[in-house]
Amino acid sequence: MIALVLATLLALAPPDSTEAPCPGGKVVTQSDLEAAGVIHLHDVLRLTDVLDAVSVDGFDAAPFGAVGLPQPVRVLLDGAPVAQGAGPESIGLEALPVAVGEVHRVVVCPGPGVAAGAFGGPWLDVQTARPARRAYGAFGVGNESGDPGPLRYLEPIQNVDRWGPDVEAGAAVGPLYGLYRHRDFMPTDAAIADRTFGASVPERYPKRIGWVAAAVAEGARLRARAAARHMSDLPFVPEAAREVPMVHTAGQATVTGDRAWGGVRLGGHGHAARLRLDRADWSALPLDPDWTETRLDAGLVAEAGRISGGLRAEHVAAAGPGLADGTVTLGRAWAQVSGSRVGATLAASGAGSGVGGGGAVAAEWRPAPRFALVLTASAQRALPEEDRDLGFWGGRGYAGLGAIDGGADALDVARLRLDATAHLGAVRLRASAEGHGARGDVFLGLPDAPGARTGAEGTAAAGRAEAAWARRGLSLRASVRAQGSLSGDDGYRAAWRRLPRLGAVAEATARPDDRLALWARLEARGSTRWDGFPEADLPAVLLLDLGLSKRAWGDRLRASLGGRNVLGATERTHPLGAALAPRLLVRVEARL
Amino acid sequence: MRLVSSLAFLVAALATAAAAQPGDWSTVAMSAGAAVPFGAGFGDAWDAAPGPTLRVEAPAYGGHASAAVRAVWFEARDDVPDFRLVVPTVGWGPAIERGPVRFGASADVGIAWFSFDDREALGLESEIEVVTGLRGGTAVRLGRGVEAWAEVGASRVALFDPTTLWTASGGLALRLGAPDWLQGVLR
Repeated sequence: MIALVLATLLALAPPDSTEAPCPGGKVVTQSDLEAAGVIHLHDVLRLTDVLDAVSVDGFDAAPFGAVGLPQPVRVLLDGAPVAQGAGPESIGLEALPVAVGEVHRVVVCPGPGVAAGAFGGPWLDVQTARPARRAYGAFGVGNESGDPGPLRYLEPIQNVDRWGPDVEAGAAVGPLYGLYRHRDFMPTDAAIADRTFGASVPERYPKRIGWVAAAVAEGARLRARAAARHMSDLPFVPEAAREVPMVHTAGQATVTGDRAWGGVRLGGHGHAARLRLDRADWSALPLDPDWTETRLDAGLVAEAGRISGGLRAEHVAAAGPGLADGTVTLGRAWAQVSGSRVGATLAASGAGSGVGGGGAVAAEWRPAPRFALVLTASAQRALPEEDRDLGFWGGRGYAGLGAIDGGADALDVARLRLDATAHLGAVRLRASAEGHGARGDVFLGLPDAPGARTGAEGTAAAGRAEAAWARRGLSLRASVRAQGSLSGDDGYRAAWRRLPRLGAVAEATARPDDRLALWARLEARGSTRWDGFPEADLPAVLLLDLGLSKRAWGDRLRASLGGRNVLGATERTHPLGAALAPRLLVRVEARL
Repeated sequence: MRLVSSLAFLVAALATAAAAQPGDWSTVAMSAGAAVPFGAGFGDAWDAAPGPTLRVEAPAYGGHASAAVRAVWFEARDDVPDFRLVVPTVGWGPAIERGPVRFGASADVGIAWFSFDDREALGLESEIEVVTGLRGGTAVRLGRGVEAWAEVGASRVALFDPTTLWTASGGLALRLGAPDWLQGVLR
């Protein structure tokens, strides 16, 4: 059946499947994370060469999808919305109320498709599972090479970044389990030290430190998650072109589930969240991010045979300095017909700015056994209310971080995508080619006009090819990727130049037994250009990552080592960001 | 660096030498001894003093896996703080036995934990840094599971100014058959 849909119904997919439930998708499993020595959630992005990720300080990363206009990817938790990023809050995957040990698999889909009741482009869904029967604990630390050591007493050498110690803990009783995750990070890279130290009063070493906690109950095809987050943070805010101290707290509750009655399957989610941002009392800046936001979100999906459809409603109430209208109400509806070879989706959305929506038609052809082609054509108008970034709120008067050239236009995207898959014995081949045109506006975050938006219109293309082989404890994978604008105005081309045009990955995982894993990943990442920034050109890099993991005591104990950028390339993804030197990540887990 | 390269070749050569290996995790060797630093170290501002070294080793995956920790004290000559250096590592390498003598080598990775006697450090009293190393040595079986061992190792500390620390170590080890419960834990 054509897989046009969906994160809402991903819960219905085989939970242990390593095949992405969408054309061109990617699945990263818990064992992949373990083999790679992952200690932080955002490190998942490193394993998905389907997305690009930008990090200014190495603490967190925001995923970007090169569809239409390079834009943030929708992030979901167990197929449902999650409160991550509100107003001026600039945070990526580290905001998720999830422990690394709780991640069962991460599904990345380039779209088009319906995810959590919304039709659109790429999304990333973090799917979780109880980490242990009774108790769980993890300790992680990461260190970047290049510290001064004792030589700092002989020469003025800047200290370098350290991640952690980070701690995770959890306990389970019957159908209920609770989790806690603590992060601690000192952003001291020379490229950002002036900004981070300058943002903090002298009595406090600049740090990003905080915790998330969650309680999860499962049963009867329902899952409920209540979560809280608190961070004393120093994130880079693009609209301010610098790090801004802030204390952000959030509470959220989400219920997801599905039930079947006869030939009809119903699923859905309910989500409520309250987010608060305050100026940190240790801030040395006059900026006051001050933001309060309440979100209510509900979605319903129904599937009967080859026909499915859904509704989703969101209501947001926000308040902040200068904000004239902090209310957003957004409604969405979609319907899909999935045949054995052809599928179609139609979607509509409505909010204060007008009406949007889109649709997609996909056709599958199997010219030979174990060989499939899927052609997908789609078009969409995404309303500004669907991606409520800071520019959107700036257009409604928010001035907590100074003047923002606010307002946002609807984003129109048309896509034509071809996916091919072939299985030749133990070898799996995949390839995709896509062309898309887009019209909207883009926020470039230029240092001399940090809050300004500019119109963007043009066409782009992307292609990807991958070969994977696995046999008896050894798996190999290689992929190449190309993407870039073909035509367009200055804003459009400038946005695309910020993503690497070319990329290649070679990856190997050896598992001599089910207790030991050795992993290596070599990535060639193309150069990028950030017009308007000093040092606008970020050079191409060759990155080698290594991982070693060992289980003991019948899976109760797990230890992993991860090496990142072992070759010592200049790994920088933002012109104002840190250059991340080789680093060692260490993680120890106990699952009882 | 030439000596480090030579040690690397030694590890590779030993890796190709066929040797009867006991089953994975079937024996455990607990070693204790002293680590004596030599070479330039961190320069002339400090004198390095010997410290203890502890290691646990077991046969695994065609070689020997180990977990070790050693400590070295650095006493200041000039107006700089003293500091302690503790280096926990994990490693793996091949070993061959010829009668009562065993030759082994290992590649290690771990962290170098610096702890400075500096009350004005304001939260930076300690630092950790990545360390990788190679070591090679020999052990002589004395009887009843007791061995005398000696080795030389080079550890590369990935500081801003990368530094190689050389140590000569020696001591005694007790090699025992691992009880079933311990083998179950390690597997």
